[in-house]
Amino acid sequence: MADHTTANDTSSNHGHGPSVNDPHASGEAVAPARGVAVAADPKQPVAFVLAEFGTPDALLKAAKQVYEQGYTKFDAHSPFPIHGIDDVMGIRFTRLPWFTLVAGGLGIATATALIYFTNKEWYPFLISGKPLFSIPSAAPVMFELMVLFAAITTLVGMLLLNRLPFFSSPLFQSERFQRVTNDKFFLSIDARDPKYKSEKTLNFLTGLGADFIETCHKEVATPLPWAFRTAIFLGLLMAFIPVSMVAWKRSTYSRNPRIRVIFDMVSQPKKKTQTTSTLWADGRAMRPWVVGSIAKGELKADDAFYRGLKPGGANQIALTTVSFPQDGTPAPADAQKPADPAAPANQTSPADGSGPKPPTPVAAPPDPLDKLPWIEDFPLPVTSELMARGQERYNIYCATCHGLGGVGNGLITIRAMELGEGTWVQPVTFHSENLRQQPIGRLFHSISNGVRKMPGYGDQIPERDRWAILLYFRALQKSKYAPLSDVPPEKVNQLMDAVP
Amino acid sequence: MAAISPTMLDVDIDNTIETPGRRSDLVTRNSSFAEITDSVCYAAESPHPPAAWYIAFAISTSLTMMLGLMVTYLLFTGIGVWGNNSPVFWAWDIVNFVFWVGIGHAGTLISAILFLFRQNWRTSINRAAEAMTIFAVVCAGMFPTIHVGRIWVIYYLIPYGPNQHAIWPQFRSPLLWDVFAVSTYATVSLLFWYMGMIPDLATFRDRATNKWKHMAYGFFSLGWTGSARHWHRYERAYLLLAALATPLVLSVHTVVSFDFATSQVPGWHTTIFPPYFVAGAIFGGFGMVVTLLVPARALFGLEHLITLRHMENMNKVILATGTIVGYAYAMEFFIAWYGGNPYEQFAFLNRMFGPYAWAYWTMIACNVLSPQVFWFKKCRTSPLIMWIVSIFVNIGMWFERFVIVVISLSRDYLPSSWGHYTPTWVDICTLIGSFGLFTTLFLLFCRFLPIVAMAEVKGVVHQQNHLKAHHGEEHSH
Ligand code: HEC
Repeated sequence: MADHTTANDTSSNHGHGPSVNDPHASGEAVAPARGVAVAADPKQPVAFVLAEFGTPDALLKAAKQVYEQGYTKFDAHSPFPIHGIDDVMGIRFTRLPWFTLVAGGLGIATATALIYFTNKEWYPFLISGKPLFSIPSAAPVMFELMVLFAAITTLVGMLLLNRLPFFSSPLFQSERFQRVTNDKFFLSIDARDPKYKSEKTLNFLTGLGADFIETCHKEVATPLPWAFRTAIFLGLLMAFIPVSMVAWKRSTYSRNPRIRVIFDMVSQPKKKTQTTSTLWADGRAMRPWVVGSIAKGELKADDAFYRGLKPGGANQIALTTVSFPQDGTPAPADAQKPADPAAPANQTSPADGSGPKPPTPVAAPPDPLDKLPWIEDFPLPVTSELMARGQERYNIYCATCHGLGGVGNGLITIRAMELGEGTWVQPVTFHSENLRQQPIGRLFHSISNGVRKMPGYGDQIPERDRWAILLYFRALQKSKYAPLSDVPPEKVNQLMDAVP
Repeated sequence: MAAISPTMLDVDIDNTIETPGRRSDLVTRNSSFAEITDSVCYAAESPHPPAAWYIAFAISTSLTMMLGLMVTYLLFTGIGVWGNNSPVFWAWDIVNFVFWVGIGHAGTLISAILFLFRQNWRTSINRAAEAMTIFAVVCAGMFPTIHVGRIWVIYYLIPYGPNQHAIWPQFRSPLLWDVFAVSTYATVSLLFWYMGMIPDLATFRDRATNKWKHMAYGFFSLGWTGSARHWHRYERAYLLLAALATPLVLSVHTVVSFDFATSQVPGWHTTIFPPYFVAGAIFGGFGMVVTLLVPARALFGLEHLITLRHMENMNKVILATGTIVGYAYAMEFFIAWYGGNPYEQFAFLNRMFGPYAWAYWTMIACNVLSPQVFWFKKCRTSPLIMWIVSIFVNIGMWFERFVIVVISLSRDYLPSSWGHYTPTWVDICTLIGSFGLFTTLFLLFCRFLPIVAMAEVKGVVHQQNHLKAHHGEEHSH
């Protein structure tokens, strides 16, 4: 075997020279091949025998003979796929399509599960009455994921089955072999082939009409330079830092506000509630109510409508804001409550002391409220609509405790009694003499601000609705004491039937 | 070899002449395998690309930088810098998105569908067309991404696992289907393109003249040795990917059309949209391929590989799809009239005679009328004429999307909520900038990657030579 000058001088033949390779080896040809060369380090054992051909057809013929000789570890290399070579080389049909099929099925299954669980189980959200999960609306994503999974698997499967990527092959030591991706055709026989015998195989290949024959030797493994290795190691190490940071932050709590990389609408150049400010002497960003100011629509000057009191020169608001401390003794209005924010501008609030003094409440009964000038008539037109509204509101707000008929047997009351709740006070019946005599204005006061154990409903029910409820309240009272003559004649029979 | 400039050889065969009973040549020179390699590698190996390349690159990178500025301005300020406003909330951003994603379709059609139909002529143009697909999808993907405004929370679109908000994407919305369709399309196109390029990257690796090039091309060619056993699986994989990409490409523009068709807006709510969008996409995409390849083949001396016959075939596709699109326009009108829905009827009359009538007529002129010149062979085979017509097609297809998106939204049901859309300078600069991005990527591709699928062309040439030899024999007896 003639040795060849281009390759045996050095083993570090990775940096390639000019892309034209013109090994001047033709003089030492083993007939009929034009030359035999040794690539790389000849001290290393032979890895491949390589034969070069000029045309696809020559390669096809040679490959056929190699296969027929019984070689198994051999390969043909060409710049483009040569049709028919699979058969002559005995290449079995690849399993790749099965991979693709399975991956496609997996894609459909993934999409179905994804949509089903996210949209039907974990986050069911009704959109335009569409079903939470249905095949037609899931079909596009099912299709897309099928294609995506199948395509990725096809490429990855092809590479894996081909054992690619594979960057260092003894074949690459041959400079001639560089033309395999250009215009030359090669046949390689692996030295590990059971039929391989160095002289015999070479002679056999020579007889196949190759243009050139050479041997490729095992590579001397050249480790990567240390700088490269440390860089790769450090790179891998650093790649873990962000991941572990995220994992750590996600699994722990922090007292600090979150760091905002991007300022969304939550951060605006303005002062928020409960923050500090240097603009005002008190250091608060929130400003207190300016004394004597009234918000729009909050004047509430009509005493009859808003407080159930006869209009008069007296400070009616102060009269009604009597509150009861825990021990049950009524306390002076100004001692317990701040000035009513709704105080009319023309009436001075008792807090500043300039207005007429409210009557000092008497310590024990009689109830101070008894003396107040309560109105006796409804301060708004009484209509059947108002009555209907009142019934509806009463059933919503009051019946739970007082019962639909007002005798104090609402559902909550019944249950509290059954449970034997010691703190529960049974509501009084509406049909007592006391309540039937009470002026309507006082009842209004009671349900607005609360009475004894009953909380006030002023904050929940607008004034008009409170009057409506009271109208119905009066109707309920009347229902217990009305004479038969008050019943319309056509309803009398109905009424008599109901009596057991 | 790089030393042989392809211009030194004369183009000898006119393959646009039809000879009955004989397949015309796919390459117009009696090219050897080495000659094919040399002329394709020439673009990447010549020490300096042609001056025109530098000029084009300078312009397109400047435009890309402008795009960068526009996007930065948009993200820091908000969507208000665009002209989008009630009732036209989808405007140029969505127009541009549909335009670019449509462009991509031609690439996949050439590489996958023509492959399945065994149309060998595709081999010379498929690489460039696929590259164009990828770059168009890059531009397309950018628009909905920046259209969301708060790009930093765009991950809400992805159903991702460690979900702090416990909310999930809504899979009944066509907009979410779109997310899946476009991202799958981008991924699969990239895989297909890359896989097709592995053998050619290996060629570049083996011809690399410096260490860095050798390492880079070597890395991406994955150690390819052209082994017959590898080729076997490779060809299977290519066929499978083509079979997957074919329905995929049809699905993508179908899903894009669902964004409109499943809504109630008059002018959008039509069942013709999916096929009409797909035909339009192929039409527009071929227009863009011609726009790119006419200068590219001249610039890099590839006229004997990307032959006039290739261009002529593409022009025929443009003529056919352009006519389909024209038919779709007519059919929309017919259905609007025949359907008897007054809102629908108004929407279409408004297209023709409303405030944006000029856009509508531009569309008709560019899309329906201009391709009709391709009935004449002279026009089909003249690079200048086809280039001009292809530009018209690009303009027309952009206006088609404008007509659909903006005109329909600006006047729907209630006259009191009608509005008029005018783009701002940011809108205009962003659109121009996206062309800059597209061309920059394409120019880089021409300079650094194999423009023509060498391995495939060689295979086809080999087959052609075989056939010729065979043919000659048959005729002799
Ligand atoms: C949470 C249960 C509850 C609700 C709801 C409720 N009340 Fe009372 N109410 C009571 C209780 C308890 C009493 C008796 C308070 C006491 O004696 O300490 C009472 C007492 C009353 C009295 C008698 C006041 C007096 O001077 O003796 C009236 C009138 C009254 N409620 C009306 C209403 C009206 C009208 C509503 C609907 C707006 C209502 N209540 C809603 C529990 C309720």
